[in-house]
Amino acid sequence: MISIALRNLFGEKTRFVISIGGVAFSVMLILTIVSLFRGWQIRSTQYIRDIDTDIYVTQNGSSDITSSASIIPIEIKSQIENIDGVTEVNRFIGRPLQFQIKDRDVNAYLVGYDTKKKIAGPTKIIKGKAEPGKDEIVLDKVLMTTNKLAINEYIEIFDRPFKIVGIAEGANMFVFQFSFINQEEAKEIFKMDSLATFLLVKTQKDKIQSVIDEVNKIDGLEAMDKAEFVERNKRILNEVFIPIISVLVIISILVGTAVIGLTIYTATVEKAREFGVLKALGASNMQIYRIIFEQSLVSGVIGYIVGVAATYFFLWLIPIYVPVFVTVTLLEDLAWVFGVSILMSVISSYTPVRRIVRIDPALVFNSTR
Amino acid sequence: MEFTHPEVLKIEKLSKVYGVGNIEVRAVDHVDLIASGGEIILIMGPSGSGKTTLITIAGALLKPTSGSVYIDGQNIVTLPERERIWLRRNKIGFVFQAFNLLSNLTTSENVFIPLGLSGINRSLARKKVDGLLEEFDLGNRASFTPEKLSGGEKQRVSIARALVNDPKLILADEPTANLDSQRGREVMRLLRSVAKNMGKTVIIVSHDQRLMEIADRVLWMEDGRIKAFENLEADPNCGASVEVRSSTPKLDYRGKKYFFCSKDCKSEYVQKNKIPASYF
Repeated sequence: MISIALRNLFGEKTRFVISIGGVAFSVMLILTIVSLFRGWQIRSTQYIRDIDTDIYVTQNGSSDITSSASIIPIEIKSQIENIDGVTEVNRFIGRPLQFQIKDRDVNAYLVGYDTKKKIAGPTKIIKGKAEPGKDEIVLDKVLMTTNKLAINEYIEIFDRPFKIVGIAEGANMFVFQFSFINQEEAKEIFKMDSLATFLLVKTQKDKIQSVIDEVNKIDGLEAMDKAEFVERNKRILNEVFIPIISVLVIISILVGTAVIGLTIYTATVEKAREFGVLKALGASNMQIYRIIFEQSLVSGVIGYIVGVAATYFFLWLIPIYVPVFVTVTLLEDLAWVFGVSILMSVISSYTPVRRIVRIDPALVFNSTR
Repeated sequence: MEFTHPEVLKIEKLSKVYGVGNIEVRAVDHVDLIASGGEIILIMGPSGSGKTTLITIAGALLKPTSGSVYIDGQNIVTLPERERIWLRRNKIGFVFQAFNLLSNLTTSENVFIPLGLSGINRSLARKKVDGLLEEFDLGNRASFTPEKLSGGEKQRVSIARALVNDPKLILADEPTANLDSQRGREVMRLLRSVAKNMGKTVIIVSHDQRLMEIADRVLWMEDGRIKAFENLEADPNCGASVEVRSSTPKLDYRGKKYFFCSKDCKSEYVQKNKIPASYF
């Protein structure tokens, strides 16, 4: 059977472009939002994933790095060192605060980098040096770009000037970026000489869970493996952003469905006589539904392909103009958005199909051309 | 004319009534008709006489209020919709005044439609379509869309489409109405060939008197009723067709018989022509 659907679809170029454009726009919107979210999820936890530790030990109920303050007395460190299976315990010092940059307050998270043991430093340095000395600081690329800073410039922390000596990448948690000063200086600034924010525990490979269990017996402490710590820090992002993203995705689906639905519906109404002719010539309702459905489906698939291409182009542009945005497009997201495109096609062919049922084949004897 | 082929179409006491009570309209009123294979029947009549309703019912596109329609011996009135669809696809070919070709399909694709709906083998279908297009002198127009065809060519495509599934019955609604005289004659020749060479029964509904040249029988339809054309005379006053048998107001004047649609027409005619009272 010749594809009447394809002929109708490609025969009306303007309508075809509108229909494809509608789906493509909605696919692009969904994928961009989801890719941004994935980017946030993955990149925002990159720094804590890259820290060389098996277990994070926090003050009980303070495992969220962005909004809770964990304070642990340093003498507990030796207690943990004595647990069977523990090979090394390191101190992590850090807290969210505001920098004074060019007379503006900028949110950041300042980490005291243990340069001797190379613990909790920047993951990747793209310019300058990784290990800050006295009165020196390493900033994340996003913080540098958004505040138009350059190496050797100074920023103020607690009225103390720090010289920028390095630019890091991957220390971006979106709500703020990680910055690094020497740990000795951090102890002084934060007045945490006998305190730690977290303790980073390395263990023998098969002892992670038993060490966690032992640490959890110590009053006021909570221990978890790295994956759990990362998951808890993702949770805050998920809780804030998933409802917003869900609404945007639903709106995108509605827009896409409405655009395909309307274009296919108007095409059906305009072609009512031709569908009547088909009925008169012996087409069953099912055969005509198939034509409508095929039109919707092809619009959905082509719209999806165009939408994905447009998304990749758009996602390539985003970091150029908005460096804080990092996007990650997963294969699984491409797959479910494809499913959504097909769903949009199915839903949007519903209204025209109802119209088709009402077409009287006897109208073919009406002499109007 | 004698037809050796059996009855292809038989209509018995067929009526179609729209509305009820005071607004009741009898579009088709107790119509009987038999058409044999190879026969061309032309149904003429004024607009609103019920011609189109009649072929719409005969084409299994509309259900009558009462009566029966047999196509190839099968009463189509009582058939479920699924079988009526099958019947339209396989036993009836339609030719329309407005051609009704699908605008985005080429000539050969338009002719292919009924075969596609029947699910016929593609290569066999292609052979059939190509053969018909050659026969109808449309071979060099096979890849044209309807907008690039002349009116005559469109109607030839429409007739080819009606024939492609080899139906026994062709129903043609004003097949020459949108064509100039030359193209109209081409279509007439084609319809005659369809009946006489292919053995199809062709029922034509039209106002075009030229079609009488190819018709085996001409019927007149008025107020939903069919009358034999040879039994009709024109009212000399108003021009209406009047059935000779049933016309009461008539006049014998100077050796000629006149038939009128009403007493008023008769008296007007008498007055206008100053016919002496002794003649009526």
